[in-house]
Amino acid sequence: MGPVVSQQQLDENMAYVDLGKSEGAELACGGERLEMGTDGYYMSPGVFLGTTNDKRINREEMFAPLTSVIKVGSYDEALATVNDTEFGLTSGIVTRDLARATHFRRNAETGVVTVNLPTAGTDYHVPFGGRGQSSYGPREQGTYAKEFYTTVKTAYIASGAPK
Amino acid sequence: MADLQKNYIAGEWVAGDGEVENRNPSDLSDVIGHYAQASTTQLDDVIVSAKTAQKEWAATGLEQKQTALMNIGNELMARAEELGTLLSREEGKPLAEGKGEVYRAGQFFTYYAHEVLRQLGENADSVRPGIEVDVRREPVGTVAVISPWNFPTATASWKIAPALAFGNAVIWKPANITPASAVALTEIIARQDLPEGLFNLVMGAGRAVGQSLVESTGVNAISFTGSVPVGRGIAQAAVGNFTKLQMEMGSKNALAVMEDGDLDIAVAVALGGAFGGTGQKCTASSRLIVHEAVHDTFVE
Repeated sequence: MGPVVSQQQLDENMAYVDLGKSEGAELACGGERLEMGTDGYYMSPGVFLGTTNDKRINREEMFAPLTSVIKVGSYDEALATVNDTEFGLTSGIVTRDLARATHFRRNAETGVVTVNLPTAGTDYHVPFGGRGQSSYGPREQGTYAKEFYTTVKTAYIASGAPK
Repeated sequence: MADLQKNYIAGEWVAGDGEVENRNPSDLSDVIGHYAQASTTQLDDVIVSAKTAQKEWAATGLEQKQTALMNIGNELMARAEELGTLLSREEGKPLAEGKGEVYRAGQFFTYYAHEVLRQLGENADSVRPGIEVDVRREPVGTVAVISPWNFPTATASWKIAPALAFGNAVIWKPANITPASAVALTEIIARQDLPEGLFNLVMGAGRAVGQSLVESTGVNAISFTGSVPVGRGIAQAAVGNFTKLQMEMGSKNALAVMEDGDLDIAVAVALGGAFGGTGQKCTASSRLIVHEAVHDTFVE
């Protein structure tokens, strides 16, 4: 893993580490500024435990190498938690149960759903985009891109009879 | 500045109104270069020349369009090692990710090169006898592309490639902290047989050149990837002019790990999703929602 992109990003990430702890989450590992061989914006990837979906670290986009583990008691609670957000870009499920995988694919409120695959990593020949505050307007990529980059003209032609 | 990298406006490389320094986030002693900041006057010039160039491009034969896009894509793929290294140097992602991104950017261009030849319309008979209806797509005109720093080449490419393929002019405002990748891609595009002014690079701050761009009535469509607050501002500006708009913004993606799942897959999928790209992906998993029956084993 590389450094984060800027001092501002690093400062924001560190503020989120502190926020997570102040909200009662346990920082299981990482989330620390790192000194490397060169002077750069390095931090270790961090994992929060013992946190719930209503906390700010689980509601705001951090854009950081930080993730939370949220414990749930059932598939239904998992799906409800996945959907309990203002955003809706991607979501994923790891399961070997076809019924759950199918139900999740049809009920996750995101523009992209993955089954037994990371939520990141998409192809170029199929549409990409989200719901809620994640996206606005027509999809990107694949043939769907033409909805945005073109506009439709409907022409009526009365050619008449040949002389 | 000896190492000043310029904007590409109306077919010319030009200095701007000031410049920014670009440093390597992995090694702050490494200065990559200095990058010109476009002025609002230059932006006015861009908008005028783009409009003329777009008309010419729309009338250009499909094979010439396809060739230009194929050339861009093939060069990106052939130079993925070199340009990926540059991308990683300014963005900070590991070299393998930088090279992979440039290669993928090339694939967007070759994919849309083929789409140039697949622009088929529809037709119908009118409900009125003796009248035919022809439905076909036309370019929207001048497209403003406002792209982020986290995938500086790929995200820009998945906007620029279809914009050009479908006959539009492009004014590209890249993120100001990853300008080297923007100049590199622009150099490739600038060598193609395109009308002067069809493709333009305007580096600068979002609040300056970006804001002027989205407020311009000379821009027909805006494709933006970035944050929700910036997107909200763009939407307000765009709606005022009825400018066509597409935005990709924030996320809080969740991965649900069920007790019946393969735990090895779960861990691999979770780590890749959460920390690939240093977590700086709009598709990153920032919430791992784990069934209590496997929670402790998963965490270990």
